[in-house]
Amino acid sequence: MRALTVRGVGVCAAGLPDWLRARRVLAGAADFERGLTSDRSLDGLPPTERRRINETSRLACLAATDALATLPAGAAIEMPAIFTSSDGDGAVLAQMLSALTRSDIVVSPTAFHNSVYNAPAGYWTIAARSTAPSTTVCADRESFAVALLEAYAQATMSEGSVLVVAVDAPFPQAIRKLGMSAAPFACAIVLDGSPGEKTGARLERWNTSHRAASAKVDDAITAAYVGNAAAAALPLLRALARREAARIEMPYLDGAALELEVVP
Amino acid sequence: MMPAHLTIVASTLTNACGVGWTAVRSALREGNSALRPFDLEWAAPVSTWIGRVPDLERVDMPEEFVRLDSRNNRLAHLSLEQDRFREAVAAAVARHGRERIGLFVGTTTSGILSTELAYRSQSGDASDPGQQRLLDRSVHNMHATTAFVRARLGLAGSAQTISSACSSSAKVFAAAARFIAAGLCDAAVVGGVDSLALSTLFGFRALDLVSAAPCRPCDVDRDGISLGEAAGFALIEPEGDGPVRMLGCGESSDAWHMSSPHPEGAGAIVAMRAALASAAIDAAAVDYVNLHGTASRANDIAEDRAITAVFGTATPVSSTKGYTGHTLGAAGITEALITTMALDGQWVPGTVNCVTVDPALRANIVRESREQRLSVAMSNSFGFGGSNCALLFGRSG
Repeated sequence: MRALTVRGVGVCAAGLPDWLRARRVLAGAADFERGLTSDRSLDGLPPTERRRINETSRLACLAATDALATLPAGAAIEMPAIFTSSDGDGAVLAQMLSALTRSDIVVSPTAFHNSVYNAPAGYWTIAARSTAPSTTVCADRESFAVALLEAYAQATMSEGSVLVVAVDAPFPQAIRKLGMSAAPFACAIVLDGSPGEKTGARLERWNTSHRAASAKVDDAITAAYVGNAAAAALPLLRALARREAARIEMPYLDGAALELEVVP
Repeated sequence: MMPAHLTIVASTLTNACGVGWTAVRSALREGNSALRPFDLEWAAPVSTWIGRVPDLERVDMPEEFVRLDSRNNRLAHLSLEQDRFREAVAAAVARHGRERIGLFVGTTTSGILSTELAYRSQSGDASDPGQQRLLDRSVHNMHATTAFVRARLGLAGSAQTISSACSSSAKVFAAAARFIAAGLCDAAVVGGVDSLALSTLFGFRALDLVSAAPCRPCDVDRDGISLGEAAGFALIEPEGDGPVRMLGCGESSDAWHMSSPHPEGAGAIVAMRAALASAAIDAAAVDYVNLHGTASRANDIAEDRAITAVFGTATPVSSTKGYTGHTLGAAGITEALITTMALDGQWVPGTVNCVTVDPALRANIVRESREQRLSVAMSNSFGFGGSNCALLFGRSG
């Protein structure tokens, strides 16, 4: 398997409002404050879309913007994007379900287009003015690892950069059985498959035949996002924040793990 | 980018026209629209026509999968039983091993209807614990149908669900081609499954996109879509045997609007040109294009502009949505496989329900099914959020 280079990382989560802060928190240089939220706005989005955007799309777009912050302006325009979510947007789903129970059944057009699974990708391509391909993949609890493998396939075949964005968020009480996140979490990572020497950590190994070790939740940060499939990225983000070599794993299909070697 | 010989080794198609290839092929051949007046027992009446799969309610799930019963999974199951498709996959498993066959399934609905009916039965009272149990994420999750299909086919390789609105199950071909080229799998099952649901019926109605009549793609009086449901699957292998090969694919984003296409079809043009470039094929070599052709006012005119920008006005094109309805997450696989059927049988399906071609459309719209020599053909799929995909197929040489 080939190696991909990390060109950018972004986060937007309760307590980890951006990568600048998250990097210090995950490296142990700053405290984890759950109440800390992002006050960033999505500057690229036209006013109509900014008014209509749903919460998971907003979090995803903020994480994506964060990941591209250190890249040349306009890098997103040509960059293919891969979005993933295990559960989708619970608030929009609840709004749709509730509208469908009314005798007159009046669905909000905005709620309907926000309920489409690729709404984050739609908003992102508008915000970034990107006509590059975007895809939206799902694999339930294993969505993040499956999205990374899609990134591997795209970046190695194109020998270019791809943006991966993962988001999940808590569901309203009435439909809590359908979404499992304890707290909102979105992250984004730019991976590059071009050959030659490059700056940035390398992701190697890409082994999917590894049996997953039993997942221990032994730190407050991981515990804060329990049930959030996008937070499967945390071990990767932690290794990148600490700039240390690490072998990490993420839940993959059939109880296996996607195993990566992080080379700083 | 594309492996040299990505062959469609086996396929199956189920939609309102019928269950399996024989029924679907003869409906298209004879010009029979399968749309019927809205008659869903579980929904408040809507003044529209639908493409409903006959007798789906009477399908039983296989015994070991009864727990995963949903309209979408029933439709997937019904489809997998047709055209000896499961046998073809079993033979591929024997050739490659179950770990080396990828699975890529497009859907927009997954089991949402089960969730809608469960929620409705609560009458808005979420505190009723007796009803709350009916909400079941094992059929609701967007990956639920893919997980069922994977278990049913006994596959253990890479798998992903693609949910990019109406381009979902076109993009499965692109993802499978990448995974095979990248060495992540040796062969792939691609497919799409989408079933009628309340969200889509009333959602599209809220956007004023649903016609009260059977949809009339490319017609001067077209006034919206007819919703449909469908499932389809294909087994693709490099160097495999079969009459049709996948030659290329192109994907793009409109970066324009969440639910309207770019008026000049800018993103569609990018996708079609990318498909031609990936196969190193000139636009003039394309003998037929199966349109996205939803019969909405905006789609058909924007797509026509894109088609004529890429191909000029001579290339024969048609929309088959008048037969099946717009099957959303299954539209990509449905129309990709109809395109392979055209290549295999050397005929072009007509644009059923189109009586008077809109004079504003400049492409060469084929109204009635006809014999035609075909070597290369394209299938277009465009979705909400500006997600575009064009697929290129050719006769095996």
